[in-house]
Amino acid sequence: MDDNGKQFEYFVRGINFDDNPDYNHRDKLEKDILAVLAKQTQQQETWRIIMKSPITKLAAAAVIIIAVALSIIFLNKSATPAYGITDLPELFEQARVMHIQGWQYFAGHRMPNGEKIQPVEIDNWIDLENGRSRYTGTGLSIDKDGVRVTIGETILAGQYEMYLNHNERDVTFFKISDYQRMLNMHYKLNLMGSQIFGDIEQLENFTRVGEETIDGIEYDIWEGEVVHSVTKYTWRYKYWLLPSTGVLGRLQAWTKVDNEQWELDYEYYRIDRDVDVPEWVFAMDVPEGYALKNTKETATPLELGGGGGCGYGDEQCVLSLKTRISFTMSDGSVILGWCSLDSKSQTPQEEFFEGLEFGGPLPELPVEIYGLRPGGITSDITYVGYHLACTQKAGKLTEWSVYVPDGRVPASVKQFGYDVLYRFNLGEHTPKWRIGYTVDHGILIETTKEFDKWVLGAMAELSDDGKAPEHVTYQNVLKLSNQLHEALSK
Amino acid sequence: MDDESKVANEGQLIANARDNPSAFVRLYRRHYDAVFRYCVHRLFDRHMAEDITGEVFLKVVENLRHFKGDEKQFRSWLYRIATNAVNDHLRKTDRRGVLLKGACRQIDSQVADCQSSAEPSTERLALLREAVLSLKPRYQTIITLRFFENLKLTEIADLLGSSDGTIRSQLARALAKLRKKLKI
Repeated sequence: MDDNGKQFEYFVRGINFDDNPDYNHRDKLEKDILAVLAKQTQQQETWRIIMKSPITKLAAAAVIIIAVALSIIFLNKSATPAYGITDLPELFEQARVMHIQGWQYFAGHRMPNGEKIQPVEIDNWIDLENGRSRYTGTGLSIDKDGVRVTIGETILAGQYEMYLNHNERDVTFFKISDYQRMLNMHYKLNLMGSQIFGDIEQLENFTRVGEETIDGIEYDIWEGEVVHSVTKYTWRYKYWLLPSTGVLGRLQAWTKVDNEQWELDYEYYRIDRDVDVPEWVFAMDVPEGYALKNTKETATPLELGGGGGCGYGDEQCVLSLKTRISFTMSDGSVILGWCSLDSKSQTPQEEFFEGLEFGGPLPELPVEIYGLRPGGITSDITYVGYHLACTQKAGKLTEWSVYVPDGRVPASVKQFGYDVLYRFNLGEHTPKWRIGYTVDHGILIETTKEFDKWVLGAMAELSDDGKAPEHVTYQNVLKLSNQLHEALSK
Repeated sequence: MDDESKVANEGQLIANARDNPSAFVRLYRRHYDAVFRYCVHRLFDRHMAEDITGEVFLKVVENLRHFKGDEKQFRSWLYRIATNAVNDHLRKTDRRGVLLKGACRQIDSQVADCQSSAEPSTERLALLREAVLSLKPRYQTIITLRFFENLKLTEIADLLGSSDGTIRSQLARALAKLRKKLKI
């Protein structure tokens, strides 16, 4: 055995794994088998009786001939497809490089003169092995001058992210950490997954509706509708699938517009797995005619802080509230990293965090996220916040809190996230207005490994020493949220 | 009983099992453990392994009358049915993701239970499960047959209908991936 084999064998040998059969199962299965055998014997007996009589023998032969003829007529061709639509997610899951190329059509939107909006070409890449991605994002901005398509492209490779603003024709570089790159790849992968499959769970309802030859290759066409679990908004997906290899030759996503007509929203004419990546894809070359807003050397370090926020200012205070990141635990509780500042206040930030305990009350920061509510729907559920830890990086303090629901969590949080409940801790002073904001569901944490990777990773990312607080562990947080959940339910 | 008469008995048992339920039950009892162990080594989940073991033997009931080989071929045939059943299960239901999560969940609770007794083996098992389940089904099969069922390369090649050379290179690729994932 070679070195790889020996090392692996040595690794396996050190593991205790209970693979002993449960003989209750064996005995139960034995009964099932005996029942099947008994039925089989009975059928054989019946067959023997039929075949003994010349009349019934003839009738049986006639039935067989008719059955064979019918199966030839109705079963189109003899071969069953090797890959069906439900096999696709696994094939994509195994891929190391993914590439989609096609058009975004903006279904349901029109220019002020009624014309269709010019489609935008999409050419997206994900290279999982090397942590690189190239992604085009499109949007529509509607104002008095009409509809404007915004197009931005992000190239992520190594420790840099290059953002191409195709409307303004300029380029900005950002410097990113390993954690941010990992996070970014995770989101891009989810995004590409939803662009290709809509909702994997609903692929089972898709059916094969025909065949079509594209460039000399005969594809099966699969079609089905994906219904959003909450909004009931419906999409229709159409896939051209090569059954022998599982290759997708084309994909179309249709959506129902105002007049109840189906309109093509986007289409990919190339969907590749594990292809060679051309050099230009991640080269970060600045296109001709584009202005440089900065360079790699002067790249702005990207801060973890995509979780939304709000602000307020008057003659007495200048407030900011920022959510760094959000996660949802398997029991429905939510972990938020957030920070709040009053830049007019003289109180040092550290004072707010003195004497806090794991599982105790939150720090009374100028703006305090004391709770959450399920976003997008009307609900009686409130998530109550408790302190977990505090981290500090470059003088900025981040509060890490767990928000425990006081009832059954609706499934819609996955799509709509959470509305933030916040209060001002400004003594007598009351700000004149407030704006609401929402944090997203974030990554679902279901294992210690995921907790360590994502939650502790985020805490380490926002610490000067690059380490997460030692007392925060998956088990500790789950135990705490269980206790709090029970207390809240009472 | 010497090996030869054991083999002869097994051959006779297979022949009898085709139309004798009690012979079939003896054959079933003889092979249940091996099939279950193979399934649990592939799936890392006892309940799923029991379900698949059930499927395998029901397939055997269905097809034994068409089986024409000897006892050695019967063993290979069983592994082949089990391999197809496990792979079908993984492919059809997009279970790999679910299995990975399930394996992690199982392991997390074991890790939590064992944390106080500082049992490093449990964590290693978690790593192993995750690493093996992330491989292609074909590689998973080869790894399981080689390292858990202790089959020789030629036996694996026979079983999977490939040449020794193909299996050797696929095993090397699978091991390289595993070592990378396991950092060993």
